Amino acid sequence: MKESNKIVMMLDDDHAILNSLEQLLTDRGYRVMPYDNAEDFFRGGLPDGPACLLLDNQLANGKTGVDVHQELQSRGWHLPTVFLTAHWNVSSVVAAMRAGADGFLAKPFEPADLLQAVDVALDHAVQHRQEQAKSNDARSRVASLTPREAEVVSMVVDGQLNKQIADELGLSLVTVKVHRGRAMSKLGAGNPAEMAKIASLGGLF
Amino acid sequence: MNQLRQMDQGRSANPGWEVARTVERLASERIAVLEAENAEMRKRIDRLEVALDAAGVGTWVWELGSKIPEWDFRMRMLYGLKEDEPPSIDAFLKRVHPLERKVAAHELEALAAGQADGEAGDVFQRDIRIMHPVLGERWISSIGKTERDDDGEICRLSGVNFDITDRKLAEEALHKSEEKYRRLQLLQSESRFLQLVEVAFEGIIVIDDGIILDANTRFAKMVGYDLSEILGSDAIHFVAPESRKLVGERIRNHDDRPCEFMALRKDGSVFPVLFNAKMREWDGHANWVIVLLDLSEIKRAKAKIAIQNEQLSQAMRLALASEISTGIVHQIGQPLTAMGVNLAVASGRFKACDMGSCNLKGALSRVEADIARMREVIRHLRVLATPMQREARLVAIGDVISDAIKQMRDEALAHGVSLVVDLKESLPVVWVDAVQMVQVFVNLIRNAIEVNVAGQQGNPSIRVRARELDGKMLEVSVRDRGTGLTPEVLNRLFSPYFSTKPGGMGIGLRLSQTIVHAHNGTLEGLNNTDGPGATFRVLLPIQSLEPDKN
Repeated sequence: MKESNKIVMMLDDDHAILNSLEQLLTDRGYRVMPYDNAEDFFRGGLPDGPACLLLDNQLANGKTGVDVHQELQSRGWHLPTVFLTAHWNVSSVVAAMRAGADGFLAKPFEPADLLQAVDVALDHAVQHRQEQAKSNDARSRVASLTPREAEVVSMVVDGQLNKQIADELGLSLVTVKVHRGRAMSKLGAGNPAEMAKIASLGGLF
Repeated sequence: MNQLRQMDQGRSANPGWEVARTVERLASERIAVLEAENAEMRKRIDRLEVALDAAGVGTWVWELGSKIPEWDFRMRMLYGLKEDEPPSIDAFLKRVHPLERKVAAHELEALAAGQADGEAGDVFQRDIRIMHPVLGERWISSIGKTERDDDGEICRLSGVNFDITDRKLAEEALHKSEEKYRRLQLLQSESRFLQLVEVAFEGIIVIDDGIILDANTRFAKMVGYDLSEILGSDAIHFVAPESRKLVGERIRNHDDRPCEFMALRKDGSVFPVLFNAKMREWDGHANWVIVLLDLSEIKRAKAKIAIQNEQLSQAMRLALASEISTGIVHQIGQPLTAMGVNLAVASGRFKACDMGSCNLKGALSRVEADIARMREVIRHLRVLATPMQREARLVAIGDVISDAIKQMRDEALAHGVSLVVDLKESLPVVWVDAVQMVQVFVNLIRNAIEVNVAGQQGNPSIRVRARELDGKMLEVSVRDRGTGLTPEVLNRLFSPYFSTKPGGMGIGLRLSQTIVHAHNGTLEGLNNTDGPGATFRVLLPIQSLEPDKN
């Protein structure tokens, strides 16, 4: 199965592990971005395309995986992360999960378990991207509405009938219908329910 | 005489007169001699009287037949006899001091009856205390002699008396002051003795035939009784039943050699004592002075040290076991992970390939490399996993530091790093586990060597210093001239598996810290404020007790 647009980023100071994982994932068709230190990792930046991160918890020069994860979150990166660690005790697991880890594996792990964790993380990435896309789309659509149209949409979503809207806005029934029709098409909705969803997603209310 | 001379001149021719004249002459010669003797006698008596006067000596004579002794006037004066009062035995006795009157009367009777007071010869002497009617209390010395008649019976007593009041008073004063002095000496020595006895750390008792005659407060405290309960009681009551046989035998056999036994308190509890005694036989009694030292504190302290030693050993064992197992988990875990993945890669490729175009070589050779790596790690860990001796060998820390320096000199030399040693001559005694502590210093020195080489600051050198800090702590420091510690490194200095060295296992400092902590000390690493590089300091408490060498 070719998944060449799916990216697995890796941050681990152990080269043996980095190498072996790179081989494994590349064989599986993922695009791999290996790093052995945090500076290079951040300098490299987020790739385009759905990506996840395999993160060792014990890194060189004093950083832990949790530190790195916090840092990327503060940069606003959305990167589902799987923690890999040689020591696992309750406190380190809790720390990782609290930090929002998508997964947690203790070394040595079954390669099959790793692949599964990667799949799950990448699914999240894909999902996220899709939702982002939807949200962006909705936003631009909402932005394209005129103020009048926006008003009408709000009231329709509220459950008001055209007549009521006409009365409240002091418009003719026809005008209301026209605004409503244009708004629906701009929002790309087929019915009021859809309209409500898209409007909400787009931040109308 | 004139008449005779006249007669002589008128009648010189008559023969009768010649005889008469001869007789006259003889008579007058005789009279002259007698007169001369008389005069002589008078002179002697006068001289005697003068002497007696000067000496204040009175003379007396008592014919035993009569009741009245003859007293000269000095005697009369000595006894204060009035002008018209005749001397008599009664008058004498009346003047004798009331307390001595009876004895004096009795003695006189005995004398009169011829019973001289047992002493050889007939001379007797007595000091008599009298009450002089005018002068009051006086002392008289009476010396006398008995005279016996032809039948050997005592017929007469005679003698002298003289006043010895001054002498007596002086004697008494001297006696009193001597007595006072003696008493004071006694009191002082008594009080010193009491002080000694009371401040003694030991309980002290004096027993006589098994009964406690005396005891000091400490003993009372030791056995939990009041002194009043102790004095007069049988000493065996304070011996625990289990020791009674031993102590009983000791007492019976008059064996006062030191021994240990269990003593018994009022509340029934027992405690160990060291017994030390001096036994004297005295009048058929066995009189003991016994000193008892409560050994419970000492035994407790010994036990505590033994426990502490055991705990130290235990702590070391646990610390090392923990370090080793963590080491295994990490250092083996990593290569195993890689190996697992490589094998998965290999097997995946193997499945997907057709013969001839399998690229398994890379994956498999990486597996081999990882196996080799694990072998190295195991070897390294094996060094750490040396089986612990049953008891940690404790030595003074000075020896340990010297040992570590000796071990590392060559390595320092090989890296061109000079090793400066600053060890005070007399380091306070700190007992440490030799095997483990030497590793700490070797580790610190090795780190310093490596950082110096890496830092490449001119004049790479390390200073190892040991010194006492205000009497409570011993500081051993290893100072390097490397690049110092960055904040990130400082933060994780003692974290396990944190290493700034390529290929470093990252457990050296962690392990060193664990060992130092097990000795109740601290290990810290700080950048130098007065020059390049960093200093690692080991602080250990100075112990005052030497551990049991069991």
